[in-house]
Amino acid sequence: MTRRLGDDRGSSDVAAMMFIVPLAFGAVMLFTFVGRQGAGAEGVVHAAHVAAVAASTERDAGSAQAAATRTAASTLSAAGTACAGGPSVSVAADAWASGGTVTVTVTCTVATGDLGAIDAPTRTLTASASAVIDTYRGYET
Amino acid sequence: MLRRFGDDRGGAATIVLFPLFAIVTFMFTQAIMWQHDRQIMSAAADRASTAVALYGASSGDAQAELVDRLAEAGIGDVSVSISRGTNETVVEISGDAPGILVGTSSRITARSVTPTDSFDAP
Repeated sequence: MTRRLGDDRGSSDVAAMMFIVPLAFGAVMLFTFVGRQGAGAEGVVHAAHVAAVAASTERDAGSAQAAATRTAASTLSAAGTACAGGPSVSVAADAWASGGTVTVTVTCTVATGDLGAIDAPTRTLTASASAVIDTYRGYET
Repeated sequence: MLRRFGDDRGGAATIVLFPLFAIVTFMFTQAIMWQHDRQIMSAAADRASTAVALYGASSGDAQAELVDRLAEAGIGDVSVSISRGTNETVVEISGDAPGILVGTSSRITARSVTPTDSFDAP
């Protein structure tokens, strides 16, 4: 069974292997990318909810902003969601007074720096939640 | 170019590539199921920790609710730990998510932290 020079029977297998192995790695990375979006979305919704409640129990707008930011960041990091550059938290209220509604919006750019091999795009997740400013609390504007 | 009977050049495609492809496909599907169950558990833990930390639910009620919900979602052998501290409430749950093959499962853990609601003196 001598093979002649230039005989390339079977080489398509090698080519296919060279194609399939990177494809499998790509699939794993794609899965990580999509999974991180899903887990991040859940984390951001939870963080917004918790931050809105935290903001609603403060006694002035400045503390409300600080409390919401602190709470959202600690909740996200406890859940293991990494936001590139940290989460950004905006707090707004229809009236900064007892009984007003405070709305917190949490924005997180999910970190994809380690998935450069599949050129993963950056995705930004946003969630808002509202809470009623504590009716039984003295409030300053 | 005569091929003799028993010549198995090119056979690698069948004996290596097809199983490899099948395994990759299987693992991808399994991973998606795992991810789905992980999200269900994470959402359940978030709800439980908010209920206990902010809305006055008792740890026992939250635990019972969690076990029921996760059983409905097909997650078995659920263990729940809820600790309501003065600063934060931590809920940790773990359970067995069923795999594609009958009898296989993977252990999934989820954790949720919510600052505990409290009265702050002015």
